[in-house]
Amino acid sequence: MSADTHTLPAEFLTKKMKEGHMATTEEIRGKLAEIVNQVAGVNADDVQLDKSFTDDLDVDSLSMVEIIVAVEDEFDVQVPDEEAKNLRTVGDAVAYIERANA
Amino acid sequence: MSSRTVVVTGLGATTPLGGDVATTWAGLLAGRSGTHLLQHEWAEGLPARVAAEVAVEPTTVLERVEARRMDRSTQLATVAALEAWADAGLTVKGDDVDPERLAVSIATGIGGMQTLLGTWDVQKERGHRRVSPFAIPMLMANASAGSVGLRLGARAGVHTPVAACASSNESIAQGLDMIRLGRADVVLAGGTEGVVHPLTMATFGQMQALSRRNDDPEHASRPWDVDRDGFVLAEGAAMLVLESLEHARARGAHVYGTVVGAGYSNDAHDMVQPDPRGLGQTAAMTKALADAGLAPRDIVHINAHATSTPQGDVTEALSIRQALGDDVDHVVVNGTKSMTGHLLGGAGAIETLATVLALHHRTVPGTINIDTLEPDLGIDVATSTRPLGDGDLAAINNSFGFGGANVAVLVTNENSSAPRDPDALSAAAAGSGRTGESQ
Repeated sequence: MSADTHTLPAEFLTKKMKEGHMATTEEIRGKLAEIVNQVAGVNADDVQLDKSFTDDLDVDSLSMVEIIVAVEDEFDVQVPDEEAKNLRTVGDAVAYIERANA
Repeated sequence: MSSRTVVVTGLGATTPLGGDVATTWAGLLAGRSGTHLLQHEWAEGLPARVAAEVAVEPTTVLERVEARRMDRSTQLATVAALEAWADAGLTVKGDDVDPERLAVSIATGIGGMQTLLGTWDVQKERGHRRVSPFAIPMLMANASAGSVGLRLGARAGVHTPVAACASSNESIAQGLDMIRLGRADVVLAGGTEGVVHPLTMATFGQMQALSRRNDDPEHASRPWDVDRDGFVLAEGAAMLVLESLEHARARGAHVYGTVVGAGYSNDAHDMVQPDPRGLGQTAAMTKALADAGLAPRDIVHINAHATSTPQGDVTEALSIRQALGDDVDHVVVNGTKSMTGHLLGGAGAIETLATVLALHHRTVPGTINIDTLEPDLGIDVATSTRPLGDGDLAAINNSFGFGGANVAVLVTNENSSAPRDPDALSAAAAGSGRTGESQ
């Protein structure tokens, strides 16, 4: 159903990392990998920093929209459409989240 | 243009009786009811609470990510399509069929209503930014045809007839035409519906169209019984692989039977009531006979539209008498909606499938729940499973829709291969009785 959201296991996702320590790059990558797996069925282990969403992970443009919205929810960040276009690789997305949470 | 023979080489279904053709067919032969009282909280307080949900949830069969990008109607269509494709001995995107010669025609009456309503709920509650970018390609009427066509790599065409409860007979008629006209060699044709939902139960209920036999749900769908009080809404999908005889023979395919004709008409009488004179319904059957080059004396069986509504069932009996004249005496008529409920856009396909199998196995499933037959129908209604005779067999499946559409599909047992598993069939038939009792 379309109403299905991208909920991840609570123990895996500490909502805002501000409440404890700042999340490490690897923690953010891991959570992003779970989102990409949920939305697009990509094996989470394949979601590495150097991978391009479209060219390497075969994520289509509509799935990318879903991933961005899930990222906004889970990491409590805003990703305007103009910015979303620049998130070509997993590393781009992780860096964006780190900057937004800094 | 020379007319080409069109045979049925694959069948697939997911219905309230079972998650595949074998279970569904066994259920029909055993006279099993697929209808039940809706247990959802939302059903409380509705005047009509009887429906027929599918026996096997499609999400338990499909892969998770693909299923979440499909409306329920497309999930059901996909399950049935993949079964039909495998049953025809074909592999997905295999080299048995030239993609340029393969088409898909998958009908629906209502389409992706559950996605439409679910998405609107999300937008109202959480804002426009939270709606799924997949909502439109999930909810559009041709989503199932598009999705299955993409999966099979069908490049000759992808179509979605929409004619309410006659929709999937139109798909089969369209597949017949495409192959006859040389536009395709193989057409996956069928229909789907997945709209058992508070909105449909309320709105069909408001039309007084649904049975309110809430205290006796398994006997709610009872075509031609004097106490019938409306149809039972069902969900499900059915698909047929239609193929030119030449193409089927070249690859040594198993053949269930032959689609020899189709007839269309429009009542042009009322949006929802059938013309009580039955002129349009009669014309559809007469045109199907003419299209097939057959006469009423050739027909041995009719799977009637027979939805269990007070007016519809008697009008159809009149139409059948008008179309067949005195030859109506040797025609076994049944109403399989007594068991499956009414699949709307999937009805024509599941009932044409049942008609093809009835000829293939020379066995007509009965019509359950008839305690007292409506008097003076003038047709021979099968109330239990009936054998058909030897030799050539021809049968009609009727489907009639809101809006006025009437579509009759005519099939025969010509070119039929020997049944694959006759022992299993006779075992199932032996277990059938007067029925309605079995769960």
